Amino acid sequence: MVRKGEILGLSGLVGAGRTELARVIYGAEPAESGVIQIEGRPVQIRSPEDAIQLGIGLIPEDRKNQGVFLDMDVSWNISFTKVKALSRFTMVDTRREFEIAEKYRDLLRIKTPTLQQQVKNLSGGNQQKVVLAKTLAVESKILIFDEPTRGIDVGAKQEIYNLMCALADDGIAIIMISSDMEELLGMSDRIIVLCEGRMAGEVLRPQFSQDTILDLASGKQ
Amino acid sequence: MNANTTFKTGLSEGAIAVLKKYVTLVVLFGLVLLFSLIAPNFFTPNNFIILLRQVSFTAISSVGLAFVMIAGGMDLSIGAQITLTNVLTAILMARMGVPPIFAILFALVLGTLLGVNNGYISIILKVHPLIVTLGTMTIYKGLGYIAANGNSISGLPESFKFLGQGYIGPVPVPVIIMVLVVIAGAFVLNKTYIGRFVFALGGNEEAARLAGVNVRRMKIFVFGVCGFFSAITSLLLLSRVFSGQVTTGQGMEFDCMTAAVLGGISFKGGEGTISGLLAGVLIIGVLNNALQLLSLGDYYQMVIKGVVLLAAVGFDTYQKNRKSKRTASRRPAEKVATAA
Repeated sequence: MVRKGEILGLSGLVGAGRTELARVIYGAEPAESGVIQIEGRPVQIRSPEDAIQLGIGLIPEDRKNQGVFLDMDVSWNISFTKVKALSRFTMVDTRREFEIAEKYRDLLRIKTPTLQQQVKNLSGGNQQKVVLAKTLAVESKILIFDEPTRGIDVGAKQEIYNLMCALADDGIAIIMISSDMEELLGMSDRIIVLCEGRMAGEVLRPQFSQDTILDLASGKQ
Repeated sequence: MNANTTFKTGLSEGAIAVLKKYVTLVVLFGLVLLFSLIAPNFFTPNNFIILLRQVSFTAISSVGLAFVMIAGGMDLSIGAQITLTNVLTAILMARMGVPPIFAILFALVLGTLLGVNNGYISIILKVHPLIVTLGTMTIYKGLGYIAANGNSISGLPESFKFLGQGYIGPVPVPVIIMVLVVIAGAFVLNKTYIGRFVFALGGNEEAARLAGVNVRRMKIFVFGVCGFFSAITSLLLLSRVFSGQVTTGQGMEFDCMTAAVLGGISFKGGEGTISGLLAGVLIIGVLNNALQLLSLGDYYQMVIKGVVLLAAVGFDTYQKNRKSKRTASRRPAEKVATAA
C-alpha cells in the first residue's frame, strides 16, 4: 500500500477509522479481518512489540497519553525504545544512552535546557519531537504519523514537515493521518480516503483537491 | 516553607525531588533525636541492632511492594501470602520431615507463584490489582487457616533457626538479608532496563505498550518479585517465631504501604525510590521501637502511626499542588519563547 520514500496521506472524516487502521497495523488493537504485508510477505503483528521488530513506528495521536512519559526526562524518553538493546546483562549503558539522546536532540533540534529536563516542561512541538526521536531511535522502515502537528506552533510544524520529507528522501515509507486539509494536500504523494471503516478511494497527486477528497470521505462517490 | 524558597530561587524540579527525599530523612532524624532524649535506652548500639532486625521483615516485603506500586499496581495480599507460605512451609518441615533447604526452595517458589497469580488474574479480569488482591488476600488467608486447621505448627528442625535468629558477627541474619534485598531492588530499579520498564508502566501504561513493552509480562514480573520477597519475609519470620502461625504476617501489607507512602512512592505509580522507601520503613521502625520503650501500648502506636502517615501524605500533596500551580503559570511564557 505504501512505497519506499513515499508519503501516503490517509484521509477521512473523524470516525472513519483512520486512527483505528493505524493502531491495527501497529498491533495496538486486534484486527477483525484483513492481511498486512511488508515487502510482499504477509506478516503477523499481534503487539506493538512485533510491529517495532518489523520496522514499523507509530507517532500516536494523543501525545501526552500515548507518546511520552511526562514525568521522565528527555534522555530517558528518547532512549526508551532502545534501552533494552543498550543494555549489557540487563544493565543500561548510560553513556550510550546519553549519546543517542544527544544525537536526536541535535538532529531534530529539540529545544530543551538539558537532557535531564522533564518532558512535561517542554512545549508541544518539542514534546512531539521527543516522540519522533523515540520512534526514530529504533530505525523504523515504515512510520505512521497520526495527526503529527496537532497542537503545535507554526515554527515547529514546519520543522516536522521538513523532517518528514527528509525521512521520505532517505527511503522511509510514511503514512500520515491528518485532518488538516492543507497539510494533507501539501505533504502527500498519494492520498487514500476512508469512509466508515472502508477504503473509499485513492487520489493521485494530479487529482488532488479538497472537493475530490471530501466527496470520497462523505461517501458521495 | 520549603516550597516557598524553591519558588523564589527558581530551583529546578530535580532539586525539589532531592528536597522531598530530604524531608523524609529530616523527619527520620527528628524522630531519632526526639526519642534519644525522651526514651530510655533508645540511643544505644544494642537497641539499634534490635530496631534494624524489627524493621528488616517489613523492609524486605516493602521492596517487593515498591516494584508493584511503581508499576502502578497495588498488592493487599502481602500479609496473606506470608501467612500461607509460613504455614505450608512449617507443615512441610515439622510434619513431613522435609529438609530445610528444600522447604526454603518450596517457600520461595510458592511465594513467587502466589504473586504471579495476582498479576495473572488482574490481567485476565482487567480489574485494578487493588481489587484483585483484595480477593486473593482473603483466599490466601483462608487457605492458610485451612492448612493450619487451628493449630500452631511446632517442631521445626534446629538448623532452621539460623535464618531468623542467627548472627553473622554482631549483625542479625535478617538484617543482612534486608541489606542484600534493598541493594538488589535498588539495582534492578535504577540500573537495568527492567527497572525502566517498571517506571514506564506506572508512569504511562499506554505509552509503554506502544513503545513495545510487553505490559502483561511486566505486570506478572512485578507481582512475582513482590511474592518472592514476601516469601523471604515469611521464611525469616517462621524461623524467628519458630512455629507456623496463622497470625504471622497479619497486617504486613499495611505496614509496607505506610512505609512506601512515607518514602514518597506514589499511589499512581511511576515514581519512587528505594532509598526513600527505606527511610519510610525506618520511620515506622523507630516509632514502633521507641513507643514500646516508652511503654505506650499498641493502641497508642496505631494512632501515632496513622497521624504520621496523614501528615506525610498531606505534606506531599501540598507540595505537588504548589508545583503544578507553578508550572501552569509558567506555560505561556515558555510558548512565547519557543515561538520566537
